[in-house]
Amino acid sequence: MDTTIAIRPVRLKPRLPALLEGWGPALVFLAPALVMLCLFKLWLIAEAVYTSTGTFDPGGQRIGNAGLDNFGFALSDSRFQWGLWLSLFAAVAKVPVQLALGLAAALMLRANTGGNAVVRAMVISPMFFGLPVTTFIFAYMFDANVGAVNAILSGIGLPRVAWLSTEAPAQMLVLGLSIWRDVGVTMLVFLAGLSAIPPQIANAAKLDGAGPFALFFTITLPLLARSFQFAVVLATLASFQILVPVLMLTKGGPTGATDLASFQIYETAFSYFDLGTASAMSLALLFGLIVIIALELRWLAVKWTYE
Amino acid sequence: MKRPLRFMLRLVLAALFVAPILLALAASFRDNSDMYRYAGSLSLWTFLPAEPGIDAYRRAFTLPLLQTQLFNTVLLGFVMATGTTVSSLLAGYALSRFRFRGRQALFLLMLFTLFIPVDVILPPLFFVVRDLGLIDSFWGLALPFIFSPIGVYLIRQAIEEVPRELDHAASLDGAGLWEVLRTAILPNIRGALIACWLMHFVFVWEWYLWPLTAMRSDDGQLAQVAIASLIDPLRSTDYALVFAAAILTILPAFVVFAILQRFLTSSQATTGGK
Repeated sequence: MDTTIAIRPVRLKPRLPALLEGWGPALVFLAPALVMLCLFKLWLIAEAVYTSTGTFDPGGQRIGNAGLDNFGFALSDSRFQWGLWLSLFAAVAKVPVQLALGLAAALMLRANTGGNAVVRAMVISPMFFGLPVTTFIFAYMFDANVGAVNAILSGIGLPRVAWLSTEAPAQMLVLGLSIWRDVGVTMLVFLAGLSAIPPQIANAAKLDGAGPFALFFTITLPLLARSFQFAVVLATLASFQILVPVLMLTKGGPTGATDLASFQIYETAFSYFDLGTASAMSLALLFGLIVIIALELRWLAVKWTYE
Repeated sequence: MKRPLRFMLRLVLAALFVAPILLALAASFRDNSDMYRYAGSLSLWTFLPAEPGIDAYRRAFTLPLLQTQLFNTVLLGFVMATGTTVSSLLAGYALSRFRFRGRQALFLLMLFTLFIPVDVILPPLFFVVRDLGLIDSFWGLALPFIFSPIGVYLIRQAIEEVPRELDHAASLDGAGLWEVLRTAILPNIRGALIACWLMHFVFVWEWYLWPLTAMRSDDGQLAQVAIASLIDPLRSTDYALVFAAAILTILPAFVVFAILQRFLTSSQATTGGK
């Protein structure tokens, strides 16, 4: 879709030259960030690749080369395959729900009124409490004995649920916590996208007789494509970061229902001390994440701009 | 839509996000006999303390290491916020105002590291920090995250908005690179700097996995990680204590946020080409 909305402004003055040419002095300013980038991102990946090709004794000393055996071992392990499926399932379940809720909230709260500002602040408030504390809150709400959710369920005549020791409820709890926390981010992305839509477009469509549904599906939604792409990528990334409630509450259970790949990586490294396999698993999961995000960026690519 | 319906929808939406938080706040004012007697069945006392009291807060204060651990969290917050803001400011300045080969590629590489979540890469990160001899130390916690792609992005964007005429004027007046940064750029990006600082400060309260992995001594542990060990989903947890301690833990973040948030927008007025 090629939509150019206004005429590109004519540049009257030539662009000013840069303050400085060349790497030398730039390095002085870049140094702190570059050193940390090299140590904790680039070396990190190199370390992961190097460790993944080794065998280690339980004390963490490298005792031999394993070539690609660690990858073969990890990827042919049926438990790790299940973990990868679960991680993919988490993304597939979280992204659409979060996008739908975030978009609905953004549409509902897009007008800049005082009341809307308060409700927006409430929707993003879980972010201010931090992941550990929000996990405590969910642990309490869904506690089998003293949790408010079970109290309400039994109060209206429904059976109580053992949230952490039944499979589907445990998965819903972990995913629900993640969505509840992150809906605010998605809403903010869509609010920014909505505020960038020039009002004349919607006005023109209204003059042409578009009803609210036509307006939404033919104008608003297509013009939100860029926010949509950004929100999908952010939500996908977040769906790979749901280890905290699993580690704190479910420990991969019950019967493997929350045995995410990231949880298995943690266990393999820090409970079984199998460093080589853990690194191979890390790289495999990271590769999967990057492939998914690359595909999303490609499929949802937007070719037009407002000018 | 009719007005009452709209109002109800907003109320439901707000309640969905605030009710759990209020429930936790109420729980911190209960004592355990109250909680285990009333909270499990539906009545007003499911949600509110039947006999409100601050006993849980008293007990939280007597947790042997909570005050040390809370100090660790706050100190880490200040160090992380200041470290990321300074490194992002310098890098953002160079990436926006200097020309050098591979500048765009470097910026993209920095942004790309956003796609390496700590959940996925925990073991190799542990090995790197172990090789540096920093496991069980404060700097082992802090250093791996002092480089922040989001910080660099935020501040570079803010510097891009500052008219280049300003730094060229300063430069023509004989200002060096540091002087340009100090006199032409800094005063115009105060909002972004405070946003960056505040974001990374509050972000420390998100931390769980990395301190759990890289800090095994109780003295050096962060408060939120220590509190998490009070929760045992399979036995009866002392939730009043958990939430009293958790509320004490997030209080410093709220105080700092409340002090700084009014500076977030105020500096916009001084920006703009003159």
